[in-house]
Amino acid sequence: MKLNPSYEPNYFSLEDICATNSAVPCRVEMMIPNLGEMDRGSHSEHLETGRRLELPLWMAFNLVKRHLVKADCSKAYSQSAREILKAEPAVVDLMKQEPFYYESGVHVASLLEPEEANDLRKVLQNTFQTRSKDVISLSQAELSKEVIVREQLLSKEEKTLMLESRVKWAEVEHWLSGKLTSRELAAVSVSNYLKRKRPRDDAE
Amino acid sequence: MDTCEVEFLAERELISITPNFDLGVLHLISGDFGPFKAGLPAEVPLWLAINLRQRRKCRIMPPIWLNVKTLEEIKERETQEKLFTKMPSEHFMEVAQLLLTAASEDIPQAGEIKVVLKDIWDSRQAKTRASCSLLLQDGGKHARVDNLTLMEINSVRPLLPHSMDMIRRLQMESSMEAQISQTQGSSFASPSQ
Repeated sequence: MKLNPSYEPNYFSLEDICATNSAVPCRVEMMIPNLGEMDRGSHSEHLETGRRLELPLWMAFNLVKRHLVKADCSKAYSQSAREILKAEPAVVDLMKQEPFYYESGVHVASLLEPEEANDLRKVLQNTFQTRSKDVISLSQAELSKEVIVREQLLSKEEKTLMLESRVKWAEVEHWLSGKLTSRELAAVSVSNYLKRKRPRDDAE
Repeated sequence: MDTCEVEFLAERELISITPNFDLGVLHLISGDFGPFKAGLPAEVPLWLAINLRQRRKCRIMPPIWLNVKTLEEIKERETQEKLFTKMPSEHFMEVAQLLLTAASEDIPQAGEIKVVLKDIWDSRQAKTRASCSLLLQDGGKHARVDNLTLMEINSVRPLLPHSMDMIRRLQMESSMEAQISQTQGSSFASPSQ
């Protein structure tokens, strides 16, 4: 049921691992000794000041904190991408840009200068709010070619929400049509109940 | 919560039956029911009524609102009003659904009732959907859910709270950042590393 169990990068959450794995362009601010091989294009021994390279978010966090590198917007969150989202949020293919668009976006924002970060956050929030209408209507729509095409534009977060809602919707419809007999209902609720129970000790 | 759990809760509603057997008082967790005398109406929980009906031990007297005329009036009001109108029972849909499947012979005009009920349900669902997208789009933090029944609240459950949660997270991050920049501007002494 849980959409995202963590409010910070969580060691055990697969979503967080994926979301913090996206690359951000960084500029090295201070010479980092012996790590020249991180920049595959060069053969120098050290990472020199001014070198540009792409780092995964989880690594960029720590390096930015220590002022070793300076992060920049990746293409998915750049000024031009944001302008597009401001103009027409509903038709952008977020999945293609960044699978966990919002999740990664929040992380990227925390690396940027306050002004740019705030702009990015506002865009993220507005985009999600505007697109939520689509998420609702998609979750209740009959499956058709058009629906499938529109579904592919959703980011992973939106898709999770949409699928959850679709399951619920189907369940209510099923119940309304009277197809669930009381015996089935009992079986469903018992099996759900058992799922929630703690596994019994077999040692007894 | 599952639909069947909501239905389970609805089964606690009381309903009148006319038994065709004699029995003393029944001691149930929800209270004592009976004594039962053949031909004399008695009030019992819905689950018991349905069980007895399935064993052909009683006739169920449908609730006063479960007839075409009343439901037509409700439907009329529901389609005219912009907001949700009050339903005759907190579990109107579940009670009707249960009775119409288990004891449709006891209810006059069962087929027509089904149609009207579906109309009421659909128009309320349309309202729910519209207000949900409005709430999410305007970034509202709360909504009044007067006269919504449990089944309806439950039908928006995974989507609405999780979307609100997502919006809150996106907001939280920006307000946190604003706080940090404020404290940095003031004479807040941060522990040096």
